[in-house]
Amino acid sequence: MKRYGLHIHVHVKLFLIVLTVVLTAVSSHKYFTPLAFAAVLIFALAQGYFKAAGYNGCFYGLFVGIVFMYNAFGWGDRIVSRYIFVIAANAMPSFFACYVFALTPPSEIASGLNGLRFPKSTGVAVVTLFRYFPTVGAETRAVRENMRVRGLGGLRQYLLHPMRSFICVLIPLLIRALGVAEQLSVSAVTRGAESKTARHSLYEKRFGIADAAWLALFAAGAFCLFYFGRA
Amino acid sequence: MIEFRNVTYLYKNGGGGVKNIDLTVNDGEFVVLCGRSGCGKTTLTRLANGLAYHFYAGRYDGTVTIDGKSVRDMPIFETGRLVGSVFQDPRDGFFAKYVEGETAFACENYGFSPTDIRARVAAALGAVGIENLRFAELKKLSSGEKQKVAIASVYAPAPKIYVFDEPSSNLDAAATLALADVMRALKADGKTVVVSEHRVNYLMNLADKFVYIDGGEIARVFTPREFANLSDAESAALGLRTPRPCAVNLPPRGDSGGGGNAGLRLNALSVSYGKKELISGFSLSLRPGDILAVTGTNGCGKTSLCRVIAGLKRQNRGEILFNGKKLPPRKRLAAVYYVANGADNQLFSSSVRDELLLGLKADPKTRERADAILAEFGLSEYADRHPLLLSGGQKQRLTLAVAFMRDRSVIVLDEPTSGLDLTRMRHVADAIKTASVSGKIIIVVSHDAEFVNRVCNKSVIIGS
Amino acid sequence: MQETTTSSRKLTVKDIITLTVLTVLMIVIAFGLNTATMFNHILNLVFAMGLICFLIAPLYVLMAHRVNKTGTIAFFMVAYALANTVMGYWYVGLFIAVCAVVCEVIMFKPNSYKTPWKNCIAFGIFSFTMLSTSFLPLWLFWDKFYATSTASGMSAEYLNTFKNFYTNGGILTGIAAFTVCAAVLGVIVGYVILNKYFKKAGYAD
Repeated sequence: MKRYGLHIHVHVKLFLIVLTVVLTAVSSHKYFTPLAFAAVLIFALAQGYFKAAGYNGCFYGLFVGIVFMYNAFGWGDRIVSRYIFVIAANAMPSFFACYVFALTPPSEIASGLNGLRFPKSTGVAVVTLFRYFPTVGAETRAVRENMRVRGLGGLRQYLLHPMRSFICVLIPLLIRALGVAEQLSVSAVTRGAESKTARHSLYEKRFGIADAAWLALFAAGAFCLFYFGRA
Repeated sequence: MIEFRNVTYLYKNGGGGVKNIDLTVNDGEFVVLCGRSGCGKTTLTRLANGLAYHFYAGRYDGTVTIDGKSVRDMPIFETGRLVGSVFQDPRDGFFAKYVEGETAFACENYGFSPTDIRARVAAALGAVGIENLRFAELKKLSSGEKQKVAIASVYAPAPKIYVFDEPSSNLDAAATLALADVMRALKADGKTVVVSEHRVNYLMNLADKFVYIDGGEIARVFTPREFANLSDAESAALGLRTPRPCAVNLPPRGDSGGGGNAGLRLNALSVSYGKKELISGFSLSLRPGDILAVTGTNGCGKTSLCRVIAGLKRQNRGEILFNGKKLPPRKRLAAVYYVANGADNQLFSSSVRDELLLGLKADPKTRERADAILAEFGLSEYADRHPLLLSGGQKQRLTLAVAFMRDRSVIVLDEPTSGLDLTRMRHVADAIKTASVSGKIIIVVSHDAEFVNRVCNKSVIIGS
Repeated sequence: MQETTTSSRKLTVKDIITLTVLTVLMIVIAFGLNTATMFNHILNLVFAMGLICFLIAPLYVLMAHRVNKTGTIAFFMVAYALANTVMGYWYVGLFIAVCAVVCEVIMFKPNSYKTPWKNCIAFGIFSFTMLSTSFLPLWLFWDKFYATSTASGMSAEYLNTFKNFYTNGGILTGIAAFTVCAAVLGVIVGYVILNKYFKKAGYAD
């Protein structure tokens, strides 16, 4: 199991810096987005998130490559617009930063948010999000599988009876979601989720030199991008 | 000490509840609450851990106190420091990705320092015997291991009282014995333990008293000796599962012999889960009317085998024949009806009758057939009721009725009696026998030895 | 006999968890549909938002009846705003947050979330808010948007077509009308589903 090196507040602040830099769109410099992506990539590799760096790097390369081919070969936008790939490539730095952020244990994020004076309920929402989001795909597959068993699944059924198919997927999914929400709530409240004390984390660590160095590096990088990239 | 003084609790939605409960659970005592499904034993656990007052909507009278402090007046997080609660299916209550994160969850909420949290997590994992699973992913654990993690997570803040609500429902025999060992350790530690169960045989050497609840009231309190001396007939009359250990006692599978090509035949089947091959070279032959029990430890491949038979998954090697013809997965889907564990995902309609008619032409002949099938499975009086309002056993009977309506020749049931008391288990067993009499082949995956012995005529142990 | 529940208007842990679970489902449906329609620009900008609102409306109705407290719609809208912000549109996030406050003002009175016509209005405003976010670059930051897009590889000719199309009052009105009507229709369908499946099964009242 990976041991995380940086203080959670540093994670939060680096994430916010990258987000602010990328989303402010102050500069129209064409290397703006690649530089921001490279910064997050270096951060991810330094933290040991090699798989995440690989996946996100491949996707970024794919989107940039497709836009390049649109421009190089003069492909038209009538059927499939290049716009989707442009948006995807521009969103990759912030998406990657979010992905790296999401690799932090949710309990550490929750206690970090608590430490940054966010209400405790924000931590509950974050922990629930990380718990439930990865299961949505599996839950939907289970429902569709049950529909297949009943003879209600398959493309033909979806096309001939779209509303019935929608209801057959939606209702069990929602009932299951409500059941999971109830179980999670029972589990949380019987284990002190409503307590008034500040939340700590098993993975908490002290703010150190490495944290300060990364913060300084990213802040300097953002400043340079703003200063040298201004139109 | 937990004291219930003239306690009455009724749920707002009208279901269940308890009346006139007077009960004392002394420090260090191990008390088992038993009775039929819906008798009120879960309500008593919810009164002890505060959920009945602070989470569920209801009306109450009387008082529940822990060491003199009223549970109603304490915020639920304060009760959580005194009472650790373990539920039937811990899987849906987990928040973390790894075992150590989940074990630390309660301590993190209560604001212990990181150093204290680490110490408590180590102690909890050691107490429950899962130090080797510290960095394991929760989703990869077996049901028994998950239940141990749930216990460790409530052990970490060191409550003095532990409340278990049907903790063995999803566990196989080995995991249930391991659970009993953990409970034994808690008892030896001087903790107060309250367990709500209807499968009580693993608690016989642990309990200090058995409180039998009927219709929401305490009907009788048994000493361990009195409870152990109950005959099977007496415990059945009380709606309880046998208090004695029960193992599957069936002839092993063999070739059904004779009958030509009629029936289901599996030839040298190999089945994987992910990249791991769980079953190899498996052969089996079943005739119409056979009811086969598939048993084995958690993770041995029982569910994967059933999904292959049902056509939801491809086998690695081997073939499946029905009435002498090879069946590829798509054709198996049409011939086999698979009822997964957890019936709620398989109910799509707003009434029991509509559930049978879903996807079929709603002509008078089909409606008549649906009504006849409902009568055969004892569900006629619930025809207009919403399927989710049925009890667990009624839902299982409904899924069998749907299989009948779809006229599938083979029915595969995955843990159909999970969480069911004796009476409801018998109803499901009777429904399965009805199905087999009409020539269906039934395959049942189950840890429930009582049920298997009652209904199946042959068995196979996966992994043997 | 005494009642257990108090009529607190504050969101509890149970409410937050229920809101989070249902919001996750809504966002997954919304982003999934948005991505699926993005291959065709006309489909995406004209029909996608209406379709999304129609499909997630039943989840909103269920959420409203289950939680029924101040903050219900704001929770979902803020979550949607954050999701958009992460995908690269911070001004969208800010705009949605402001509209969330407007919706909460409409739903401020007790039991507003169990009032069908109020839910229609609030969700209608939500749908219009979502639609507006597509045109915010046009209305607020056109020059910067143009410069960034051309620097990223978008053709100037395409961008001008985009601008001409979506500054046409008739087209915009048509899209807005479709989206809001689809959202309101979705709420109506949501109530049919709520009454037939969830109220009958005791999951909502």
